[in-house]
Amino acid sequence: MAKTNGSKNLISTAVIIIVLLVVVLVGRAEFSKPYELCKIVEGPGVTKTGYLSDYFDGLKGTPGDTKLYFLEGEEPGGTLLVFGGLHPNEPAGLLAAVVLIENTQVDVGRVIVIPHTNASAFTYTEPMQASPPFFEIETEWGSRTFRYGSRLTSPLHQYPDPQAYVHPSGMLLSGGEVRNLNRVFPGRPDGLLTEQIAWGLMELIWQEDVDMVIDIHEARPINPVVNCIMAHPDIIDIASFAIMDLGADYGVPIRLEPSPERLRGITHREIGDHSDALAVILESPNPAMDALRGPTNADLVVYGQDEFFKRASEAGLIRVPYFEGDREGFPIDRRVGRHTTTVMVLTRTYNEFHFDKPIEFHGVPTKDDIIENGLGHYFLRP
Amino acid sequence: MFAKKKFLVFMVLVMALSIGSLVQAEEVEIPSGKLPILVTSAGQSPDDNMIRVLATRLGLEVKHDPLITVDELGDIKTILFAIGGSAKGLGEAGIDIRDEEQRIKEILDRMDELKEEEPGEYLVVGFHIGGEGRRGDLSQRSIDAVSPRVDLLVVWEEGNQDGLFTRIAEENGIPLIILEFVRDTQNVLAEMFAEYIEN
Ligand SMILES: [Zn+2]
Repeated sequence: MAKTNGSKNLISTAVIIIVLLVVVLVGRAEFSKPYELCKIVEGPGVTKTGYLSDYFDGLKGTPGDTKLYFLEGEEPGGTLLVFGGLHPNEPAGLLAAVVLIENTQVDVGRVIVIPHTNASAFTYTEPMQASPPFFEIETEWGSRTFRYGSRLTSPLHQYPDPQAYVHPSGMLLSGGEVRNLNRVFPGRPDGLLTEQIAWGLMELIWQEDVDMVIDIHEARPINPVVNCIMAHPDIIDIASFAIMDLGADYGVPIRLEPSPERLRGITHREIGDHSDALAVILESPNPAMDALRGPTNADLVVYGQDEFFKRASEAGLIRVPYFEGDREGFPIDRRVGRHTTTVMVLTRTYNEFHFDKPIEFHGVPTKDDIIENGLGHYFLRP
Repeated sequence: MFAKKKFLVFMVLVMALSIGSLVQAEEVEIPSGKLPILVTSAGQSPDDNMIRVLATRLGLEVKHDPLITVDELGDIKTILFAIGGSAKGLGEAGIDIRDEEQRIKEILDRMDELKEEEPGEYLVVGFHIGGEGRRGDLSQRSIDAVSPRVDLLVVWEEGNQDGLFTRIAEENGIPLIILEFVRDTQNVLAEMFAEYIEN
């Protein structure tokens, strides 16, 4: 009798242990899932890859390290560096970077692309925002999944936030901004993780002698700084010409915005000031990050249609047209196409000014190409 | 016969006027400007850079100062205003829109005096080339400060969807050129300064 009881106990203990083990293992797998970033295919133009920690080893083994894609031409020339996903809740930046990596063929000079510039911020979605963790883009061979991340470095990777953040220039910002990669440039080698990522990017720019940096973002449609190129004073002529060509030749009507001199820590301002590189930020409208939005889901990210923006646009409250021809909303294909076209035209205009260090490439789809063939057409099968 | 001819002339006039208003962009005679040229801002948006780079591309030498004051005008004969408000731009310059309105008013008052003293020598042109993004309350203050007082208005059509500039032009008898593309600003400048541009 006692013996049977004992084996019964043993069995139930074993069952409990197994159940607990399963819960822990599944839970752990589920919990660490976000750390897997979307797969990116090395397109035919990719000649090598590397990591940001190759340039600043303080990042080695941290969630701030990220993969770099090099696309090099046969002929030497200038170097273009593209940041996608510096703010992972602005998905057109990531997708434009992926389109560049998987399609660009460089003939002269080099293009370096970083799709997950703040890799840590890709690992979670912002609390209370109901953002979808993933979204899908249909392709000819099925759908491809991408992560929708957060604006700030994960608090799991950098905690706690100070009460106030003092930028190296002495400028005072609210404490949370110390996890905003677009406020901490040029960074600090011995600083917090986000500052170290910025420092790593500066090291990359210095060591690779980068000539032009294009940092691709998105903004709330209600923000006055949207649909624009924000240019460092050193690149304002190139940006001005590019904007006029984009409007006249490519149906991409965007405008020039001033680069704030007093707000420190922003990529293009600090990169322009602290290196020889010319630097701009591109902004397209993303309704999924705007408080004006209705239901927040992957459809809003991809198709960008929302009754509230339509009404706001009709009431003249937003400065970005809600309709383009008969196409409604802010669909992501249009936003990505706008960015790829802008990268192309900015580079072409750069060449007119810097013929001693040209950067020439082909294969990059324009906005019209993407609208005609679909965004998925430009994604390779992982 | 005579009456018929008169009628014909009248009809031609009517037709010309109506066609004229439809295709006013083509019909407007672009006044010629004299050197030296100043490019400045009304509202501190960076659109003045667009005008500067296009003028430079044409081989024209321009003085570019978005914050120039009336005392610094010197011997400037032609002023090209880039109209459009930017809160960021004003903030960077450390001024508010009232300071900007005052600066613009003083410059325009001075140009009016000069025009009276030496007719045909001076020209003031207003460019609104930032589209929808340069509309709204802040931009309106710059638009109101400059547009009714210029000799020519050049406007990108995206910024005139509600006909604001058409109205201003009509009410103040100012010739208006509507551009399909911002880049077409170059054609306007080329014609305006044709005598100074080497081909
Ligand atoms: Zn951003």
